[in-house]
Amino acid sequence: MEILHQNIRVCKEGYRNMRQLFFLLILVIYSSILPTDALGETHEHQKRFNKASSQFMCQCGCGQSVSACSMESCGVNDAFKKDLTEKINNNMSIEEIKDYYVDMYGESILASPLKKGFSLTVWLTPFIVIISGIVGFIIFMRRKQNKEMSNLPNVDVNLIDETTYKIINDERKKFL
Amino acid sequence: MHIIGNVVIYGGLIFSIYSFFIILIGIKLNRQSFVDSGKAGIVAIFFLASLSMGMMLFILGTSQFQYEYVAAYTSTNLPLIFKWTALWAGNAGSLLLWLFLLTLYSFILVVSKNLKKTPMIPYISLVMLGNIIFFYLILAVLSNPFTLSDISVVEGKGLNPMLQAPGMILHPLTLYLGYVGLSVPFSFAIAALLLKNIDSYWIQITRRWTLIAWLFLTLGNIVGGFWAYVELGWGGYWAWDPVENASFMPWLTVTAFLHSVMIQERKGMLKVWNLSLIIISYLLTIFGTFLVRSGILTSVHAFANSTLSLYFLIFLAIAIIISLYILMSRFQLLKHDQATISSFISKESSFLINNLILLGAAFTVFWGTIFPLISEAVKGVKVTVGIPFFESVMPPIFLSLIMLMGVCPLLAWQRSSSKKLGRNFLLPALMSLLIGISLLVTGVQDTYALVSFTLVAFMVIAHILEIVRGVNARRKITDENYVIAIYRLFTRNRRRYGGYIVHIGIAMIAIGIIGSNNFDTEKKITLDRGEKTTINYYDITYQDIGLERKNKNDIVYTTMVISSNGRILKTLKPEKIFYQNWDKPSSEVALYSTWKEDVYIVLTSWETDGKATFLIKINPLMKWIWVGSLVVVLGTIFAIWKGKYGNITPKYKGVQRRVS
Repeated sequence: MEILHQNIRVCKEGYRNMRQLFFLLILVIYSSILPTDALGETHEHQKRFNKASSQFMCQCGCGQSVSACSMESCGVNDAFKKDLTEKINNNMSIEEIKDYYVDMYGESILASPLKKGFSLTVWLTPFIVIISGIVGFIIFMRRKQNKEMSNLPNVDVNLIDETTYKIINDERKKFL
Repeated sequence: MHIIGNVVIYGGLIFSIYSFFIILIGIKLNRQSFVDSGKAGIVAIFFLASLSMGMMLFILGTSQFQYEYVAAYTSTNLPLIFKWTALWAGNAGSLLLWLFLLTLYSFILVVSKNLKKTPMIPYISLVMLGNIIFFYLILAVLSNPFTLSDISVVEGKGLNPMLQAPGMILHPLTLYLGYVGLSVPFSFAIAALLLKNIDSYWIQITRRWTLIAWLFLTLGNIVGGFWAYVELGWGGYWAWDPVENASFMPWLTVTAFLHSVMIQERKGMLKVWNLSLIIISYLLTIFGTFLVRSGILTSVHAFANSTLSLYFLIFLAIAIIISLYILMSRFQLLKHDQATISSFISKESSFLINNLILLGAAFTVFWGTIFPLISEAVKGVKVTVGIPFFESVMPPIFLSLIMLMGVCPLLAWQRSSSKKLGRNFLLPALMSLLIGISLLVTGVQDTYALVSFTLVAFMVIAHILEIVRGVNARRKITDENYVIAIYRLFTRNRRRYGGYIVHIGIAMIAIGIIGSNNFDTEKKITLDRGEKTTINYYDITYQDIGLERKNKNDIVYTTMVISSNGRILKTLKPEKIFYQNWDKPSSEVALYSTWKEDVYIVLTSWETDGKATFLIKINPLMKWIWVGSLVVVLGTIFAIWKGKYGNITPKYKGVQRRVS
């Protein structure tokens, strides 16, 4: 609000020079829509902005993403959002924007680690652990079943006919 | 008062050390009089801790700013209820609360009629006293709530306005009740190991304790999410913050425990597994409180300026070493006596897979929470593992769990044939597929959401069919009408059907999460007075902006009218509050909530000409989360409730000792 008051005063004084007036008009429009409306009004831009801003951590120390930072008058967040909007308006993809900021600030700027290098372990480890656990359980159960099958008394096939033997075998399989 | 406060804290510490050693000596020498003296000590400790709490509430309520803690977290104009809730706003007060609850539970255990003459009691008391001594040491030496200020303070700093909300009354208190509640089954488990009891007595006797602790953990997490949603103004309810994760991990492991104990009780299986689970659950609660107070990870929940991290780490390390040692020393005994799962297609097997998935989920949360530290140690860069990670990794884990929740009721104990499983599986599978197709036809295009909704539908239908089968089976024998049959089926099997109600509640929460995460829309817009904007099919008109004064605080409010198809639905007033005692303002969210979706409006800024900027979000199915949570709570209460049937207090049949 204070920025707006200042700009209006400057506007009134700048009437003499058309070039100055034009430049200042641009400044007034720019400062009146920022930080209040850094995002533009188009739905697609909004979506891309929302997606992009959730990928980066606010650097004010709030521990939240740029999109979620609830610290009032977070100047750091406002400046970042402004920069982010420019990049989205320049049709940079989210991956390109991520690469840009990572090159500038390092991986700590991101809200989640990169899917490469050492950071890839954070993505893969949970699935490896869960799948290993389930596979391990299946293998354990199979081994147990094989052990129980081998522990069953062997049928002396000479003492019984083939049909009876088949029935016994089927029942044995059903039991296991 | 200051002297009395300190005397009570030091007195509690002395009594707890005395009680610990006298009970230990009593066990070693088989002297019942020593053990009884220790039990009396526990009663005295509870009395002293209650006195500390009472005094703390008194000095907070009467704004005695000569105490550092009171000056740091309250002010004269703070409403009384928030002066009291300031008890858990800071480190020292919240530790006192933890200690009080520990002493309360210890007191209940030593005076309990059900546990009279049980040889486990001295061992249980030892474990509880070990915890009490640690917390008393911290309070007495490092974080005394009765410390006087060095300078004269006329007015306190006040409580952070974000904490002046109903959530502050419930959220920390319910979480602590949950955390500390887990110390009871943990103590019973350690006592059973020390006594070399290999039966299920400790599980049966602590079943309600564990369920109640789980209920409070559930409530704590839900209230926290709801509070974040209505207060913080970012439109979300769970940020996967390290401290939020710290309360979620024990919830996951205790959920696993509550399922696997059924197998031990019925079949005598998974003894080592259950002991490990309850030990891990309790250790995770200590880990959680370590995270909050250490500051090693950035969190909006962390206590500021805490120097307690090293002490909590040492306590955690000691607890891990001792628990593991005791478990490993009894391992062969437990394994020797154990029955085994005979078939892969069985309820036992599905419970175990359920446990593996829940533990996998807990591991994933744990891994994501500590990875920043690992990354810093390995690469020198502290990365953040935030929402994008968890929202990618957790959904497939939870969806597989939901699918299993649908399959498990269809399986029999010990062994199910594939043929029977297929027969039971067919109807819920077909019905849920039909629901999936109708969702697709009505416009739900997102594949992930479609699959998720279909799986949830499968789970719900499987449960409903189970209930229908139960009712039909009952009616065949008793010839009751449907209403009475359902009533009696439920009340005679509270544990089972309470569990089914909880599962339905989880399904509702899942529906809400799927809807709100996949179909939300958001708009940030600047409007002039009288100007209207459209989002989805809502017309939102900004009518006016105003300023008012309430409780010495300045409030800027805007009047917004929500309408749809020309019909006015509601008038809302999003606000921004500027506090007398606080330099940062806060936003009051305006909410219009229906079963279909929430219209969520936040006033972000305004100008002198009356223009104002708003963040408007449409969050689908949010109400399902809160109502589903209520269903979970009601289902748990139903399962815990004693009722008329099946109330048998388990009798101790384990190892006998001369002291009890």
